[in-house]
Amino acid sequence: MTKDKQLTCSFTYQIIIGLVVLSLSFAVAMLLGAAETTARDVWLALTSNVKSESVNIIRELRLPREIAAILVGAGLSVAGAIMQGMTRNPLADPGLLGLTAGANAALAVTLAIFPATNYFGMTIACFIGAGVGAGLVFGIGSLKRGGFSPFRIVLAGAAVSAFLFAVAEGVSLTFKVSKDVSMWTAGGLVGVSWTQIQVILPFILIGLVISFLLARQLTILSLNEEVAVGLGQKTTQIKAILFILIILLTGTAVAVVGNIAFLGLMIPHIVRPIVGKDYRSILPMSAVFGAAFMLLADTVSRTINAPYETPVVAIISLMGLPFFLFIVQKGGRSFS
Amino acid sequence: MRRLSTERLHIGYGEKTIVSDLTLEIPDQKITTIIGSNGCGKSTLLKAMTRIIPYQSGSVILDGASISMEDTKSLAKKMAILPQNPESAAGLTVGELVSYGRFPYQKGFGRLNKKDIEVIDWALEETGILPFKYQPVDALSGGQRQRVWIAMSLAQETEMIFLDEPTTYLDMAHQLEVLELLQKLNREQGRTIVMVLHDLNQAARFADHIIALKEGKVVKAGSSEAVIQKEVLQEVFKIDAEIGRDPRTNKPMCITYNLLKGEDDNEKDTYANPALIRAYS
Repeated sequence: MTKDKQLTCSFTYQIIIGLVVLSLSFAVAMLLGAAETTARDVWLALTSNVKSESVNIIRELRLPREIAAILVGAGLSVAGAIMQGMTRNPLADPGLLGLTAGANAALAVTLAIFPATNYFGMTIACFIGAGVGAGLVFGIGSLKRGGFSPFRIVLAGAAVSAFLFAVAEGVSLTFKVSKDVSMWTAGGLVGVSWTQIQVILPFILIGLVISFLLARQLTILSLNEEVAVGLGQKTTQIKAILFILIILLTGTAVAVVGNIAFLGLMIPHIVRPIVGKDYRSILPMSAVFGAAFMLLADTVSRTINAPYETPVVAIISLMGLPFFLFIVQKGGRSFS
Repeated sequence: MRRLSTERLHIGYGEKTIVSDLTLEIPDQKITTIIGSNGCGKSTLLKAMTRIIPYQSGSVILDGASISMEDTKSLAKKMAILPQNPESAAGLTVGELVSYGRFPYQKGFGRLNKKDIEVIDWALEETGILPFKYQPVDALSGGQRQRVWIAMSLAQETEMIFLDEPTTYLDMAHQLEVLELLQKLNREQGRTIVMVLHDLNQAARFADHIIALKEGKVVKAGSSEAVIQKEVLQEVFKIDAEIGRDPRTNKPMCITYNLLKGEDDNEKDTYANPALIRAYS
């Protein structure tokens, strides 16, 4: 029994360390950038009403941007972890299974037909798109009996993504909105405003909180569906809620940063060896690590070729692809 | 009084009927074994009785009420089920996995209370896996893993435990270990155990009640002596068996067997072509 306590304590320590890492990443992200800023400027921006150029840069550009990075990183990582648990598929990721492509296509369509849609409307469009994308992938993946083999679903994801990107491309070219669309989808975290934060904050927070509350359900679902039913889980209902959560988190993230693949794939796999395989630990830790990772990736994107931005999407994909191959090579064994 | 029974149960997938018009009773506090050839519907029946899969018509009655009307969580406090080779424990430790047996009793975030922890330790003790509590389930041997899953269903504190081929993929000693554990749970704690087994001699040795199924219908149900009989095995498995007695347990035992003529691996053809059957016999 003492050991039980130790185990929960060790998770508490782990999450504290995670939060320290997150805070450090946040500090780094706030300090570094194209514009020369000092720690004092950051401090003033956060705590006072002082108005100077560098303080304003931090307060109006960098701060909302980094908060968005935290939200998006946490959201996508948790969405990825939920997908991996729910489908028992180590390769599940919102970017690989058609969700971001769907949201992307929805953005293009919305910009083409209702150019005046506000940010909130765009976010909703992303939800719908993400839902359609995921629906298509899971639909195709389960067409054949025997259903969701990891590789079949990744294939279905690739095919559906290619199709939806083509739709987005076609629509943007036809309606001559490709510039606007790519501003949204490839822009990364450039120009995130406080208004945008206000829109996405509630969605991501609600998504995260509900996910954490369902983590226990997710663990038994990740074992085996029959086991879950046998333990008294209302499986259909839980899966529906988890599905909505994934769409909520991914849709919101895409509305902010565009197409980021691999983040949701990588983070849970990085987290598992540290915290174990129980989603009660995996989900919160994925949120913390995902946020930290996104902060650092964005800092790199701002500084590596300053004053020009290197797309954060490219940076993450560059790291994600080898990781993906590594997991494929392991055959998902780390998972079982 | 039987707590669990089925009445005119009909189970199918789509157009295909697996079990039809099945009425049977599960004796309380006994070990019941379901036997039958591959695809005869044993697993399907087990799953339908535990609401893992839905049934089309008829009913499964537990304590006087149809299980389809009952809340799945309260059912989980009455019956535990071990699916056929639950291959992956997703990397959980033994203690973690067994603690999920407390799921039906928990609310919200699922913090374990004192009672939960006591029950979990008791279940680990009872199944002899307490020493492995902090090891990952996947690192254990097949027999130990099976005991972990049994411990999880013990932690569920149900009076009935259902197991789908609990001995498959285990070597002989581990098979016996699992069956003896189940026997102990039945004898010492009066738990009702219902399992699907492939090995007839194990069924005869450990079961108080055997149900022999063929094509979704009961061919014979009763004691080992009543079911493990030449005619029954002929009908159920299409084998010609020599039945004797186990010299140690005095239970009936299938000593040796042959395939019935015309029912060998040309089985499908002979079904399709009656002339062939005649040619063989």
